[in-house]
Amino acid sequence: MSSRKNWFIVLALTMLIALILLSFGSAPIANAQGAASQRFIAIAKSDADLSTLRAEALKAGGEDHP
Amino acid sequence: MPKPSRQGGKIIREIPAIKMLVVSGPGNLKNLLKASTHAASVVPDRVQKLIRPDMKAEFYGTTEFRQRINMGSTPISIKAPVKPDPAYELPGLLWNVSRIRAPEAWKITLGNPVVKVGVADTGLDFTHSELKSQIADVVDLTVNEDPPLCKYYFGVSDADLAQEYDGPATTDWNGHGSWIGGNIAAALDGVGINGIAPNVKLVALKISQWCGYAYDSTILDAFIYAADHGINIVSISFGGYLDLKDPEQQTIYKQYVLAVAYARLKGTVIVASAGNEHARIGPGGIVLTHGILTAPGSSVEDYYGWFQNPAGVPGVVMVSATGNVAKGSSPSCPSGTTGSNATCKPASDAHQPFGVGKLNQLAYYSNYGPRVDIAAPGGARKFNLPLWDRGGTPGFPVTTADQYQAFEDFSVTSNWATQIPCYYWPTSTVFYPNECYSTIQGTSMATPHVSAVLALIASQNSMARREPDVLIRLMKQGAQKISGNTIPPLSATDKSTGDLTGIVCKDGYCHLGGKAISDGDAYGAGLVNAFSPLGVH
Repeated sequence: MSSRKNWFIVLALTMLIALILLSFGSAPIANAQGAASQRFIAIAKSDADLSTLRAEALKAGGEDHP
Repeated sequence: MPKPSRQGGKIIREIPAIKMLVVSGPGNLKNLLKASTHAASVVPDRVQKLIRPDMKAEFYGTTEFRQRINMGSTPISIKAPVKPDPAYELPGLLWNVSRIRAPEAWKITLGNPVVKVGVADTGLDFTHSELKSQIADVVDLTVNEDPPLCKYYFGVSDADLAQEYDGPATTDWNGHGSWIGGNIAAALDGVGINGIAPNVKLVALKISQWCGYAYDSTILDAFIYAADHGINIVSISFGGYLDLKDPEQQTIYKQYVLAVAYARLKGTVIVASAGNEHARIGPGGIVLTHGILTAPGSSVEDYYGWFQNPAGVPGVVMVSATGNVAKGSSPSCPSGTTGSNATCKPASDAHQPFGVGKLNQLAYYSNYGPRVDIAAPGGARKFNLPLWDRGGTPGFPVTTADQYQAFEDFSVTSNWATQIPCYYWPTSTVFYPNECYSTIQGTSMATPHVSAVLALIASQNSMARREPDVLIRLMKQGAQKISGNTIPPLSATDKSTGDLTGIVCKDGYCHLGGKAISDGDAYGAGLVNAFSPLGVH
């Protein structure tokens, strides 16, 4: 029970720190980057281009989605 | 295109309807794809947040995780079966459902199970007795988060919580989504509450884990999934603001435009929250005012010229929020009644309620403006003022000072909720014992009222069921015309201290002030009406 309580406290503190960091950043609400910096959206010019773009990503070493 | 090299990374999802790949990997891979002659653009996958039950400074006032409040004995004793569900016997609790004339609508239809409403949110608690019979499908779109956003920001994912509390990972670990699901379609079963359209089916489009963050790509995926799987209405209470002067953000906005257009074409209506910043929103979602609702002591943020999304995106039904009734102040208040959930407001406070005694006033936090399509009860504190101006209580069951009266909106919440307070009764003839209910406010809460009404209209009009234009037209034509909004915009010049906190509002935008917002800006076509559109063919 005590370890669960400690876990709550650690989590609450982590949340607070993260929220403070997000709140005081210059980035707006929709702009919490960080994690997003390594994740991106590639938009193809056409349906055919989408297949090719996908093939290019795979060729470059990207794994396929499940 | 440069010669490919082994860059690593992963294709997370492919959404052909909007010609989009979502990829995670190193910057080199991004640059490589950017250089491809087949790519129109390659941009970061950004993060949106749920439209909080209240603005963030108020919401974060409590740091307690997984708050559960034991309410002791049942409020009243229900012996004979009642229709609707017994919580409607508690005077004033479900004011919001009555206000949109849902009980009259139920004499015509309770909804048709072929009509499906997708709740694009934090999930639906399929273990909750009010919801489990109502959920047709659970689609967890967060499984493709890489890394999981809640894990990245807070060190804990839904899977971790599932292990800690011995629950299912795909349920709603926030509470927000289940509240919305309950408002739309909680079971009509003689216990607790029933939703506005209790016979339609819900689909959990889980776009966020417990912390309330979602990738743009996940939201877009939810829209496309709904369109491709015959979901009639999507209710989304997530969003943010995009600066279209930034080409990358402009690209994301365009993807939203394409996804919404695709959904409309396939017969899916998307209904979204206007937002809780008390900003004026114009065509396309453009923000027409400076400054957003700001807590004293905080720095103001300015989205002027930015675009609210997804509610502002053309083709989305944007919903503003209204309150129950604005209560007035008192010459003197007994001790213990003027705290953070004030039940009494001193007449000596500098900031006083507007439109005392009036119903359906624009909520103090709600966005407004010419872009608003329709209004719905999202609830507002007892005095329809921010917390720091001693705005008042949510009402029952947070306090019983006004008996069963709620000022915010009452619904179920997830039994696993970590972010929405869970009120429960260990024994009860009204509610499911030991299961979670909550009273909260926001344009998030207004939105499902509209989604449910659209579901009722779709239930009643089989020919129009896959015709978003017709459904929206019927809904707007049947809306209740409201006049006499007294709620003003935010004041840039009132830099006085908050009545409750005594903290200075250094930049302005903490208090309301000035000329009342027009009825058109506040309500759009009017207050949503569950009954009248059912007779309009």
